[in-house]
Amino acid sequence: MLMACRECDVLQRVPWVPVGKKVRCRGCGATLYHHPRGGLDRPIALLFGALVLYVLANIFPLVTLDIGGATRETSLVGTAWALYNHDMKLLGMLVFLTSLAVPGAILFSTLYVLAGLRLQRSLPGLRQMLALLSHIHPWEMADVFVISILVALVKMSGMAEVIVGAGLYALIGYILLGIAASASIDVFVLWRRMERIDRFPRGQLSLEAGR
Amino acid sequence: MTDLLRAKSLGLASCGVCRQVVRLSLPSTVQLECPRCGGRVHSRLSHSLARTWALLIASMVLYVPANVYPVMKNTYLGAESSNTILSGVVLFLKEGDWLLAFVIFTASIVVPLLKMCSLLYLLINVHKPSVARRARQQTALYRVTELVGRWSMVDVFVIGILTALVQMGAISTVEPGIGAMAFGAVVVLTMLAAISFDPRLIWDQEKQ
Ligand SMILES: [Zn+2]
Ligand SMILES: [Zn+2]
Repeated sequence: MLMACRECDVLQRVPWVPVGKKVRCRGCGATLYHHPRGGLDRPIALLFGALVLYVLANIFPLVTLDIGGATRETSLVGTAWALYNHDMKLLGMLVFLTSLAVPGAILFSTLYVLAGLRLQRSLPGLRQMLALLSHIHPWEMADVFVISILVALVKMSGMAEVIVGAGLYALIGYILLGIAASASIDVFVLWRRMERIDRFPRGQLSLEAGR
Repeated sequence: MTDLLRAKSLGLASCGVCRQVVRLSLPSTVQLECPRCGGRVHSRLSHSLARTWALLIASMVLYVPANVYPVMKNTYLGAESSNTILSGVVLFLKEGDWLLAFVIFTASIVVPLLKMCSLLYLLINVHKPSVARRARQQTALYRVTELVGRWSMVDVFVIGILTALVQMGAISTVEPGIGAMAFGAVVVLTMLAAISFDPRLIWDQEKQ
């Protein structure tokens, strides 16, 4: 296969490496692609787990604050909403996008793409979804949000009683599963699989092979 | 390492989305569509440097109000106090919260400054011929810059969380300040600047 490094543009022939190996650029050392272990089933399983936890993280409160009996809790939406309501509309929208909408969109579209590839069906919008993933990735900041919650917790612990909610545990679990899932996914490898579906849609594969 | 050929010198380009290598059509004004993913293929991102310069300068301008104006106003038992990013860090230090001071100082001051400086450095040096070792260092610098940028959102999120939680009427309230808005814009603009920069330009002036 012919590949050009996206960082230094060196054109090189790269081998199709066995599972668990990665290929580095001969010019600059950047990773060209890695062939993840576990096929498609591992990331699908991990992302299903992450999806459940993501939903739970949005249902249950993340943190509850208790000052002399007066309590107040917040969630992911609640944080964005608070900024939006305090005359910081754009900032609220930014927080909404980066902490909630983009992580959710990545979760759903990755699962959709993986499902399509697993079933070897060209589901509608499959390519567009996979292309979208490469563009929105930098704007996913759920992990940064968790660190921010921890900072806020320590900051408030002096002046009030802080109760960690089930939502925060779910959010942390979602992030860990998400990290494990993205380690078992390589976008280049997915595009190669996609190419194979287009060339041999389901059912046609055996026919072609028989010729 | 003399046998290394750049795709551009062979009239080829790699798709930014799916990595498919595509032959560039001769009149280079024609927009190329990737046969695999349908995205647009650029040999080099169009107007990469002009865009990066514009976004970087905008973020530098906004960095001033982000640091001058308060990012948060806090009322505690009737006493009002407002903090800028820097005075917030100093407050943590005074209270003995070294870890928090370190986290906020890194995320809100070191990371944005480092990002702006390294983009500035890359933009200034991109047209100068450089040896392979130096180009490799610059590529690594770019990679780090792109990777750490999102972490400066910590402060914005903390302000949001505190605003949502600390609304206890007469006892204590937290309000976001105008500085937070400017700081959020700085984070977004520096991220966009890093995305607009095409690291392949670093290698175009390589000395053989
Ligand atoms: Zn390279
Ligand atoms: Zn493509």
